[in-house]
Formats: sequence, C-alpha cells, structure tokens
Amino acid sequence: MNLARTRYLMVWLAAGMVFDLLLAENRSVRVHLGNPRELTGYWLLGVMIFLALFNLRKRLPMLPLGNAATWLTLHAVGGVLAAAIFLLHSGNLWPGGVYEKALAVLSYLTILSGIGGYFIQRIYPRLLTETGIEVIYERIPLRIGELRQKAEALVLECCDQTRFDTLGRHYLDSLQWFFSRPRFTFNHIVGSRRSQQWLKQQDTVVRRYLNDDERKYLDDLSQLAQQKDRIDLHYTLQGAMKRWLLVHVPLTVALMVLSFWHLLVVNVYSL
Amino acid sequence: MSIAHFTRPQRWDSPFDPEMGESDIASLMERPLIAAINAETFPDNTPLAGILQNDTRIVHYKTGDIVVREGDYGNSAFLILGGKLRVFVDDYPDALLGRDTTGKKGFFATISQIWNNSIIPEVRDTEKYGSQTVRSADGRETRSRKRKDSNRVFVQDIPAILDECRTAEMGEDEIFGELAALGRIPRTATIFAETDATLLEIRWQGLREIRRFDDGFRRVIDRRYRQNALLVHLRETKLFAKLDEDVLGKVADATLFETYGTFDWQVSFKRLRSSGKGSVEHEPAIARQGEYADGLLMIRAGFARVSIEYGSTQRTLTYLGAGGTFGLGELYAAWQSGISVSHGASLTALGYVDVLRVPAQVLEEYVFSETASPAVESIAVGTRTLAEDALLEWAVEERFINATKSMLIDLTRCVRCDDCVRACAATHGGNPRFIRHGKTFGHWMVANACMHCTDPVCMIGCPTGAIHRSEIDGTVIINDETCIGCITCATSCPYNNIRMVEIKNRMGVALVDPDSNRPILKATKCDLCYTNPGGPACLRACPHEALSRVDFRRGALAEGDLS
Amino acid sequence: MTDDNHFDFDRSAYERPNSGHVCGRGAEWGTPCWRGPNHDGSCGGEAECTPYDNQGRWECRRAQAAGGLCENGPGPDGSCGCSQPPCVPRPTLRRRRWRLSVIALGLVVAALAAFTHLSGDAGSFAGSVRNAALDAGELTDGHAGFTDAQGCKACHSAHGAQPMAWLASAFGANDMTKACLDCHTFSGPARAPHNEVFAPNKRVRKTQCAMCHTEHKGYGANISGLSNEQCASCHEKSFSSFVSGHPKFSDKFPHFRRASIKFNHASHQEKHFQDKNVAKNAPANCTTCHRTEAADHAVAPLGFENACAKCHADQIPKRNLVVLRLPEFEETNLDREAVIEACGANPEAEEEDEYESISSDEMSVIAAYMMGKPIDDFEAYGEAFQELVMGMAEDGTGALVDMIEGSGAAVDPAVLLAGLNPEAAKRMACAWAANLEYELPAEPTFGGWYGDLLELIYRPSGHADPVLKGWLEFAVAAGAADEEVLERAEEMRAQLLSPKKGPGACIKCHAVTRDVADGPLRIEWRYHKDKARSSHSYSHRNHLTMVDPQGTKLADSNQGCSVCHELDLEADFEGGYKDFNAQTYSSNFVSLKKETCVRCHARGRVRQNCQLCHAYHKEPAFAKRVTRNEN
Repeated sequence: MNLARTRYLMVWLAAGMVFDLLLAENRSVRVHLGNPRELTGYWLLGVMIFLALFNLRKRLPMLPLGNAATWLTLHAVGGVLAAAIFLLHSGNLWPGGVYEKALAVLSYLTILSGIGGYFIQRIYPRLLTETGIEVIYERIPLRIGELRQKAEALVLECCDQTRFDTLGRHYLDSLQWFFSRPRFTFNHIVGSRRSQQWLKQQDTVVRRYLNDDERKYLDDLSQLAQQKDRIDLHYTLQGAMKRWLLVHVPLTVALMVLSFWHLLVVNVYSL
Repeated sequence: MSIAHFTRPQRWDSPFDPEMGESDIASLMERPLIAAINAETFPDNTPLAGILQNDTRIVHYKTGDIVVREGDYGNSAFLILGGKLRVFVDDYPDALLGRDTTGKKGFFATISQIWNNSIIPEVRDTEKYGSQTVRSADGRETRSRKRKDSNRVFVQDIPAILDECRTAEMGEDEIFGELAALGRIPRTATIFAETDATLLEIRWQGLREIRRFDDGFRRVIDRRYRQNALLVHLRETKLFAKLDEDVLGKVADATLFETYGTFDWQVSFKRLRSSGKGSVEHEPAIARQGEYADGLLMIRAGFARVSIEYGSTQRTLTYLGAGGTFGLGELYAAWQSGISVSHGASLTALGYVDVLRVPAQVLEEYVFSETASPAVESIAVGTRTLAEDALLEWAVEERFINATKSMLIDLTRCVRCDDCVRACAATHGGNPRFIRHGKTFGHWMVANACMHCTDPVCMIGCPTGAIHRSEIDGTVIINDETCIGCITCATSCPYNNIRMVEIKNRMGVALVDPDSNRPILKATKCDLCYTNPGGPACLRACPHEALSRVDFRRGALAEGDLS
Repeated sequence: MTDDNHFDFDRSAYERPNSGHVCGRGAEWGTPCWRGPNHDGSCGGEAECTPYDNQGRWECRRAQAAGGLCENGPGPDGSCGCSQPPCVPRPTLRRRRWRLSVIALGLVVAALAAFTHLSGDAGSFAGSVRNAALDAGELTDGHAGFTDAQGCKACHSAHGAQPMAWLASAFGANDMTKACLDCHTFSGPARAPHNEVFAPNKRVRKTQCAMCHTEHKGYGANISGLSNEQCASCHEKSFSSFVSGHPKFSDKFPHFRRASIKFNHASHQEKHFQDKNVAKNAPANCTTCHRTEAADHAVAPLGFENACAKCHADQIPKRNLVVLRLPEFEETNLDREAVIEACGANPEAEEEDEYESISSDEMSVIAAYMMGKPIDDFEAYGEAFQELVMGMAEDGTGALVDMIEGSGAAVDPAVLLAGLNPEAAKRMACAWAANLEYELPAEPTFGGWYGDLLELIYRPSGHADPVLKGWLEFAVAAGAADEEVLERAEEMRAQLLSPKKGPGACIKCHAVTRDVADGPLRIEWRYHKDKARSSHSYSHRNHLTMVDPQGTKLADSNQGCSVCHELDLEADFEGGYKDFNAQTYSSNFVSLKKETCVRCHARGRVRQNCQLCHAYHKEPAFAKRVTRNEN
C-alpha cells in the first residue's frame, strides 16, 4: 500500500510540475505574441499518445517495458493532466465549430468514463471480497447451471419424499426465474440489497405452508439461493469492471482519430 | 441399504515390482550387503524377505542409460548387482540429462512472440520432439530420443563423454542413492551405465525399514552420510564455520539423526485433514515447550512448526525449513549463566522433517567458547493480535510454507481483469500456465500457480527427469521435450498447481498416441518466466499491484501488514 | 473462505482470457459444454469425445475433467454417444470491445470523409455540412458578413484545393497576413510593428496579423484586445503598468510646436485682462474662448471674431500698408506735355527751371522689390518710378498691374489691387507727376486704397482683409535665386512681417513658419490643430465629464482646466516666435507630466491599460467595402 501511495504522490507531483511548466510557457508565448494554442495543442497530443500507449503496453507483457502498476498510475494521472491541458488549449468548456464540439464531447466522455472506471475499480473489489466467495467470470454460467440443477433436484426430491408439491409450485412461481440467469443486476450495481429482500420474502412467504420435512428442503434451497445471489453480485460487479472499458476504449479510438484530423486541419488552415 | 465388501488396502498391495519372485530373493540374500543384515530383528509383519519382495525390484540397464541425474529428487537407492557404472566427478552437459538448456530469450526472440504466439491452444512444434513416436490425428508420425519400450533418456555417445568429462567407476555391490531416498535432498551425482548393468532398486519405504531394524545397515548408511554429506552440511552452517577439521569431525560424530513425520506427506496430508487429524495436536513433536533443551536442533530437510501454548491449543509463531535452527538461544544462555534453560516454544513436524541434533555438551565444549554470541532471531508473539497472525497460521495449515514463490493475490485490489493470465500466456506461446483461482483466506487468495517449493514433492518419481530444479535459482522447470505425460507430477502436487494439457500441431490438429488413441499429454506449470528477460510476467502485468510472489515467512513478504 | 473447491488439476483447466468466443449455450444461461468454442469461433462441443476403435469395439475417450467415461458409450458407427447440436458461440467482451473500437474508428473516418466530400457552395445545406468537418467556430461580426461569397477561401488559401495540394499545405507555413491585407490598409508597412518604418534593427520582428488577432472566437468576440504584457513583450523598456514603470512624458509634452496664433496666455491673464479699460471684454474663464462642445484631443478656441475682436479689432486698421511712396528724385524725366495731356492742366503746378523733388523719402520696399531697384539709389530707380507714375496718370491701375506681374509675384494682381479705383490712382499719379503732394479730401476712415500725400496706402478694413493678406502672401513668397533680389525681398519681408510695425498688425498674432529647413515660409493664418495620432490619443471630451480626486469637476469653467493645464509665468513665450522654426518654443503652460494622469489612472482607480491611450496600428483603413449591401 505504501509503495502505491508513494508512487501516486510522485506522479501527481510530476504532473503538477509539468502542468505548471506548461502554464508558464503558455503565458510566455501569449505575452510574446506567439501562438499558445500551438504549444498546448502539441503537448496535448503528446500526452494523449502517451495515454494511448498504455493499451499497447498491456498487449506486450512479454517485453520488459516496466511495471503495469506504474503505467496505470501514469495513465490515470496523465488523464487528469490531459483534461487540464485540454481546457487550457480550448480556453473554454464549449468550443465553437461543429467538429471541435464533437472533439470536446468525445474528450469529456472519455475523461468521465475513465474517472468512473477508476473509481469502480477501487470500490468493487472490496465488495466482491466481502461476499466470501470467489468465482471466475467465465465460469459463472457453469456455476449457475450447477446451482440450478441442484435446486431443481432438491425441489423434485422434496416433492418426491414428502408427497407435497407446495415447494415445487412455489419454485416454479419464483425461484425458477431467479435461478435461470443472473438477476437484480441493476440493484447490485448501485449497491442496493433488494435481492436479499426478495429472497427473504420468497422464503418467508412459503414457509408457513410447509411441514417440518419440507422446511428442511426449503432451508437447503435458500442456501443455494444465497450462493446464487453471491454469484450474481460477482457477475454484475466483475462484468461492470470489464464493460466500462467497452465504453472507454472505443471512445478513445474515436477521439484519437478526430484529434489527428484536427491536427491536420489546423496545419492546413492556420499554422 | 446394500453393503459393498471391500478389503482394507494393505501396505504391500502394490509391490514395487510384482514380478519379484522367490528365486530373485534368494539370490539377493547372498549378496554381501544383504547377507550382513540380520533378518531376525525384523518384525513379523515386515519381514526382510517381504521387504525385498515388495519394496525392491531388479532393474536392467542398457549401455548408456542414465540411472540417476544430479539435482533430481528421487526416492530409491540402488545396489549394483552386475555391470559397470560411471559417476560424473565434474560438470557434464545438461542436455545429457534431458534438461532444458535454453537460456534467456534474446531481444528478437522476445519481440517475435508478438506475432508468433498462437491463438490455437497448446501448439507444439513436433519437429523438436526428436524421435518419440507420436501420431497426429491425421496419421503422420515423428520420433523422439527415447527407447521404444522404456522411458529412459540415454547417453548416445559414451566414448565421447568419457573423453570429455571426468568420471569414476562403480562396480558390483556398491550402493548409492540412499541419501536422496532417505534425506529428501536432490541426487548428488549423475550416474550412467557404461556397460549393460543390473541394479537392485530399493524404494525408500523398504530402505527405511531395513535401516530402522538393522543396526549394521543403519551404521553403513549413516557412515556414508557422515562421510559424504554431514561434514559439508555442518561446514556450511554459520555456527560451525570457524571450527577446524578435527573439531568438526568430533561434532559430526556426536550428531544424532532424527526423522519425523511421513515421507510422502502429500498423500497422507489430505487423508489426515479429511479425517480431522490434520491439526497441530497431531503433529509429531520434536521438542516441547517447557522441556529441557538438551541439544541444538537443525532442520536438514522438510518443515517444522514453531508454536507456543495458547489457550487450549497451540499458536504458531513461525515455521522452519532446511537450514533453520531451534534452541540456540536457550543453549547459549544456559552455557553463559550455568543454569539450564527450557525451550521457549514447541517444535513439531509438518509433514516430513529430517533433524540433526547436536548435543549440548558438544556445543559447550567445542563451539560456544570459540564463537561470539550468536545472533538469534527473536520469535516472540509481542503485541501482535490473532488477526495479524491469522494468515501465517492458515498458510501453515495449508502447507503453503513449502512455497518460495506462491502467487498471492490481494482480492481487494484485484479487479479480475486477467491481465496476469494474459501476460503469462504471452510469454508461453499464447498458453497461460496458471489459473486465477485457488484457496482464499480473508481477502487473500493463493492462486493455483506453481509455488516452487522448497520441498518439491512433484519431482519425486519423474521417470525421465523432465521436471527438474534449476540449480541457479531454484526454479522448478518442466522440460516440455522430454515430458512423456505420465501425470505423476500432477498427481503428486499437493496444491494442484501442475496441469496436463493436450497438445496440438501447428494446424490445430490434436496429437494422438497411435497405440491408444489417447491424446498426447504434457505437464505444464508456472516456470517463473525463466527464459524471459524481465522475470515473471504476471508480477509486472498487474496494474493494481494485487499480485505478488511470496514466501510466507514473516519478513519475507513484500508488503508490510498483511491483515 | 471459498466454498468452491474445483481446483483439482483434472477438474479445472486453464482459462484462456485471450480467446474470442464463449460457448453459446453458456451465453444464453444454459449449461455450457466443457470444451468451449474452437479457436476459429465454431462450436467445439458437439461431440464430447472422439471414440477409439479398439479392435472392433468403440470405446469412449471422454476426458477426466468432463466426467470420464460416459454412460451412453459410442454409437455403433463410432460416433460419440453424447453429442448435442452445435451452439453459436458468442463473442467475448474483449472481442466485442475490439469490434466496437473498429466501428468507432470507421464511423469517425466515414463521417469525416462524407463531410469533406460533399459538394456544393457554402450557402447550401450540403456546403455547410461539409464545412462542419472543418468549421472552427463563428467569425466575429465584422468578418462574418463579407466572407459568405468566397467562403473560407477569403482567408484560407488552401481551402477547396485538390486533396494532394490541400495535404501539402499542412507542411508549409501559412501566410494569413496576405489575406488580411486584401481589405485592411495602414499608412505604413503592414508587416512592421506599429506600421512604422524603423531603423534597421535585428530585434525588430516582422509582424503577422495573426499574432494578435485570432478569429473563430465567436460572433461577439473582441479580437483586438491586447494585454499590457503583450505590448511590453516587444518594447525594450518593459514595465508592468502605467503607474509603475511607464516612462515619463517628454519634457515639452504636449507643446512640441508653437501655436499658430501668438496668444500669450500669461500676459493676457496677468496683465491685459486686469486692465480696467478692457476688463469688461475679457473672457470670464478658459471655456469662454475654448469651446468644450467641440472638444476632442484638443479644445479649439473660437475664431478672431468671437474671441479676440472685442479688444483687437480696432488695432488692425491702424496700421497701413504702404504700397508706393514717392521717392526723392534728382531730376525729372517726365514730359510736361504728356502729363498735362493725361491729367489736364494743374493750376498749382509750377513751371520751374530747376527741378526740386517734393519727396525726400525712400522708395517703398514693395516698389523697390517689384522694380528690382535698390531703395537708396536715386539714379537706379528714378526713371523707372517716374515711368510708373506716368503710366498711372494715363490709365490708373494698368501700370501697377504690369509692375506686379513683371516682378513674378505669386499672387494674382486682382487680389493685390482689389478695390483700387483707377480714378483715384490717376489723380494720385497726376499730382505726383506735377511734383505735388496728393491731398486727400478727407481723412481715411474706412478700409481701402488711399493716396496720402506721397504714398499709396492700403488701409485694412478689418481682420482677414483679403488685400492685405494677399500682399503678405506676396511678401512671403517673394524671392529668387539672385542674391540682390533676395536681399530686397528680405527687406520687404522685414517690414511687412514685422510684428510691431507690420501692416494690419497681422504678424503681431499670426506666426510665420518655415516648416522645412530651406523651405518656403508660410504665414499661419488658421488655428493649428495638431493632427490626432493613433499612436497616442487623448480625448478632452471624455475627460470633461470626470471629477478629479480632489473633487474638482473637470468641466468646471473656472477650475477644471487648471487641474491639468498650469500656466507657466516664467516661460519665454515671445522668444519662440522670433524665428521661423515652430519647434523652438516655450509654452505658456507647464508641460503635462505623467503624475497628472496618474492621479486617476492608477491601480485601484481608473483603468490604465496600454490600449487606452496607445493604438497599435497607424491609421488603419480599408481597401474594399466592408458591408454586404450593394445599395
């Protein structure tokens, strides 16, 4: 932990110094009647290319290109630096011109998605650990399938052994839906305990109609449902930690292309 | 309820060689070494004849066959019945033993992985496999450098080897290999057959019994040990380093050998745990807290738990591995003050431990006067809470103590992105060598990646020596070319860190054994990226620093507080 | 603790996170097969194993991890007994991310390509859509109107070029200044700082318009603003504000040049206005004469009629111009007969044998110059003058006209002799021809031409008398290369242009200035207003509304002006007019100091940025129309 904090501190410091330097250069160029936008523009492009290199680094883990943790720190802080340089470069929050507006929109979306992704990656792992279980994302369908089979076998056995189909009918009405696939995804994303409430409800509702033998089966069934709920949380949160990149990365691609277009247009028309 | 009858398995239900017969035993009994053993001292349930029948076998070696490889872990001793063998005195070519001889990849080789890694799982270039007969599913054959009817790698050009390297001859009635078999240390030499030879291979179970019941045999074994290995071991111990030769000899003479716990602990470990007998109370005690310290205990091989009484049970302070000492502080204090001191903690055997006990008098007489006050690491509890020690306690319980490089993942930092697995795959041709799952404790997970154990039980029994330990840094490596897929190592690994894979050729067609139509298997596991510049790729690839390769001993962990 | 213990090596195979597909059954939340999709994306789990023909018997070869030998066993034809229909493997999240990235790339490139290839002029929808891919924002209102016709090409020469040329222009520097100069002009080089010509100096940079003026900032943006620091970046003396560091105003500021009218504020205020006799005519305060309604960078005074006439009007006619004076003759060359024929017999004329000149005077300087004769040489001028008299006796003004024209005068004789009645001239001449003094019937009271005894004089009728003005102009312009002629001209000028004695007292007040060394003289008839310069501007009008820090209103007639303009009683005002050089001058007023301005233009008070007083461009103007209307 200390190593990470120290690293972040140093990178923030470095970024602060770079930005200060850039501000000073910017001001100096402006005072001397140069073109400060040219300066901040190329710096922004440089920082953006460096940020994009992170993806490349992740694709080349076999080469000794440095620690991915260091790269991430540089990327995260670099992203904030890029946001600051962007505002310095454009001068205002909403530029004129259609394609420049598009650039601004793409920039903001990229930055916001990046910040959002950073924070969910800080918060969700702890929530996942607190479930008490660990499951690989790609094996979740298999696990859910196993639980579903166990649940159905349990219910069938209950009906078979006790000769009452109360539990079975209740299962068809409620838990079958629950076991069919991950449920309550939105609630899990926002951290609500809705699923727990619902499961408790399903248990309470049917319990009064069951005899002691059936209740044992219900207890087992509820246990399985709890396991399923934990797996659902894993599905949702792990999925979120993978899916946010489906927003962030394509946006950066679009942003880079449009940025290069901007570079070209500016050089044709102005510089 | 129906009852299924099933006889309880006996010790000798699976003899070493079912074909050992009476005549073999009879001829063996006439051998000088065996004739010297007094059969009457053996108990009725393990008679000498029984041991010979069930725990030994007669093995024939052809010219050039390599019998044992230096650095291998083996669990058999050998008695030469006929023929001549050669033992290497100096260095020998690694390739001779079927070891992996690749060094670190060069720059271009590393870069070319970008486009050479295959999307097809477990592709192998079968041209490299030599003359082993393998058949791909479309009928083509290749050959490997192994005998058709045996699994041995053999020396192909004996005269050249004899010319190039220094060797010593071994002949009839000589015994070798008992150190590795009993002592859990790697084979100390490489021995190959110069002529056709016949050997009696005694597996460790038998060896142990003979040694236990026959004094003469034990003395033979112990003398060989003392001659060959003990002096070296003592000399390498800091405490005795400055003593001169004859003093050292006296110390060596007085040293006692002790063995605790079960040799094949990985097998019994699972059994004991499931029957509820895996906890500390059931571990064999080497020394107890409160007992008079009568000698210095030095761990030669295996692991021992250091614990103190805590409530109704024991609380682990640490564990000791090979080279560790116990009781030095107490003994020195006793010598200085003249008042005898008792052990401050208990020492119990974790699995298997080989202990040397140097008596207190010897130390007082020869050692303490010559040396300065030894620096003894304090292992008191201090103010640590139970929570702070919980991880260590759990690691000992799961026998992760064996690990030098266990993959520890902090689940509160891990975002489950699989970058570590991808990095591992990128350095291994597109095939990952570990799985990001494993036993968890709190927010820690020990993933199923090879831990490069101090006591690598996976290595015991590899028929070709494909799995070996690099002498440079202790990394356990499987040489893909010589592995025959017998799954011995995978089954032995107590932590399920070795996996068998079905291999394919470059077209993506599965390679299949023509005889049985079963796919060709190869054993695979983490190799700490030993050919990769930059070291383990997984460590460098985690963007959140969730992954570390650790030794569980206190102070050896990379991060500070682990709670 | 985990309750999933599926870690066994034969139960759990490696996960391959780089694979592109997952089992379709699993993706639909059924039970996925253990084999998973093939690397090419096809279903890998149709059959659970490949059965082995062991001498006629088919054996199941299912892997341990999948459950080992199956119950069904292979079919009789060797097919797997546990087959299932193939699934449609779905792409993994990672593969979807790749696809989305490619789509994003494609979308952006396609949009740009589409936009830039739409044809059509700028006014149509297609054209404006095309420009969307290039549009950098609105132009200011000044530029937005006229660029419609040419579109972007008005300023950006690369716009609309062929693709290769368009791309190539990215690599050279653009000269936007050239486009600006299509419409904008200055009275100096456009690419020099301040549009001024400086001495060659390496440190003086060539300027581009875009250094200070950047467009595409929106309709109402101020594209001419410049901060103090930006000005200071070029100037050697850099300072942070007007208050701190701005150089002191120069010693004579703003009175670098003497006024055209020699009005001595000091003597008037201290002496003349105090005089009891004229006090009632004196102006009450500054604004009586300097009318603030018309104030701009100067507050011009009223003209003579309103400001000066009350006191000075009657001074003017008192000084006459002597055009001709009958000089002393040694002898007469006039023919008596001719005179009698021209004038008639004059009873008073005496016939005398010895001629005795009635005049003992010298010639007038004007005549001396015009005739080209020295004043004191009887013989030289005698005959010529008598001829003139004869001529005048015969036809009045004709001879005068001839004389004037003959002298190469720069002024038209019609102006010089305006109002001269030939009759009076004749009578005058006849008397002189008879060697008599011409006697006026009455004292001259009005302005105009009079003969008076021995002189032909012109009495100015009032201020700005055109005849007198003409004669003074004539005097100023007189001169030739010849030294003698020049000498006479100088003499003429010395008399006519004398402040104390000159005719009409014109030069008492009007300055005579030689603008350029060795150049012509010029009488400054009009009030000289300093040309407003863009390099530093001051507006009295704006300041008149102000109240100074002491509370004095600047518009206050009595005290307002003296807030800034302080009389310098010691200055040698008169001395400045003794030569023809307008620059040698000591003003009546103490020169304005920076401290005066700083009273208000200081930190925390009124703004003090450079552009408040100093404009950058030198007389900016336009070369083309700037409005869109064609009316």
